[in-house]
Amino acid sequence: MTTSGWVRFRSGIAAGVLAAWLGGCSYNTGIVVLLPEKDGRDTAVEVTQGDQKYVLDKPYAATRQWPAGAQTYTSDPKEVQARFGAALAAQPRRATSFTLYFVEGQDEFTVESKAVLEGMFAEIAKYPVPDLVVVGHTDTVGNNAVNDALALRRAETVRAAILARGVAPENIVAIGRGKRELLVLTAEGVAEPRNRRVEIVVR
Amino acid sequence: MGIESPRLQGIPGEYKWIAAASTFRITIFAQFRGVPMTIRHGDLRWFLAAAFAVGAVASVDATDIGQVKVAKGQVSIERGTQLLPGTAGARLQTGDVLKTGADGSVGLTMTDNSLLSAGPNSILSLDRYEFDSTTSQGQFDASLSKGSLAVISGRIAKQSPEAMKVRTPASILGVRGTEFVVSANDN
Repeated sequence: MTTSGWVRFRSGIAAGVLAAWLGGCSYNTGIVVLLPEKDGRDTAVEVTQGDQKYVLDKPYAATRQWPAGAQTYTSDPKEVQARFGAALAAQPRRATSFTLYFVEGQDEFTVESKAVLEGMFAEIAKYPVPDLVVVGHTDTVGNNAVNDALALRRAETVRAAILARGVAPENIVAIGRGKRELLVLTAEGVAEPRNRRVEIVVR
Repeated sequence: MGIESPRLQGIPGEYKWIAAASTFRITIFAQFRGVPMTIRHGDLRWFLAAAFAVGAVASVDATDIGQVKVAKGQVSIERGTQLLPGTAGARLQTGDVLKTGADGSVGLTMTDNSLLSAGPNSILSLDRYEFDSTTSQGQFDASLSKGSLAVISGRIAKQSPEAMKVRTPASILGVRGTEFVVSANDN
């Protein structure tokens, strides 16, 4: 073997060892970090790795998983930004919901709800690809058939108003639930203004 | 057509196609066994009916479970053998696999309002998704086999803890109504 051949052979071994060392030691199989909640709710992620279980229930509680096992630690905004900045930047806008109220027995907005409409349109405009679910409800005056039809008419009224603002028809679903899902529980035949509503979820 | 067959009477409308399809599948199997390697004229009619019925079932199953809301760089959706562009507005189905390139990232909103977003060089599979929008009951299993993922859980996880799971090659995450980030195989 010539000298240069030996050198090449030796550096080949070195590269192999380095790769094995990188593969065996500094290579890890991912991290999990619990992020702080905006509204301070109690939340947790339970991480199961093999027969080990870790509960992350504090802001920035984290696990780092190595081939040999997991290690818990406390992460920070800097690490989260460095590793997850792109994923977090792609996070869609959170869903928002609105409730509009109606005149008794009609598919006509109350005066107060007319004022809410503009704010709702402005909010919808913030979503790059808005997708809406519009659900109409009634109070308990009248039978199911009447209320199902009225609930759907109310939902359709809202759908039409949103369509007029340029949202694509395939992105708005309008359904009526009649008096089946009361906001305020009442007896049959009670005219309750808070039950005469349409709930809109924008996501 | 075969869908009105007396055997299917009494089966609720939405299940009729499924019942019809399985009946046809059995029929076809039997006919193939009886007449190997040939399809007679009568069989072909059955065959087309079955193919149509199976197609109808597929489209019933293929309900939207979410939508791509944000897409940057290279993003694709693998749906069975199809490869679709992962552009903003694309509708998602159970079994879809989202892949991002070195410059890519993607953000999804599911019908239960959960938000999933993946960074570059990621592979995210929507393995299982069931959601009843009236009761908020459901099951959501996703897996990240590569890359990075940020999650804000939605109504499924809120209604029943442990109903949402995210898998990575190394671990299983049980979600109890929460916001977190996870990576797989990072270096």
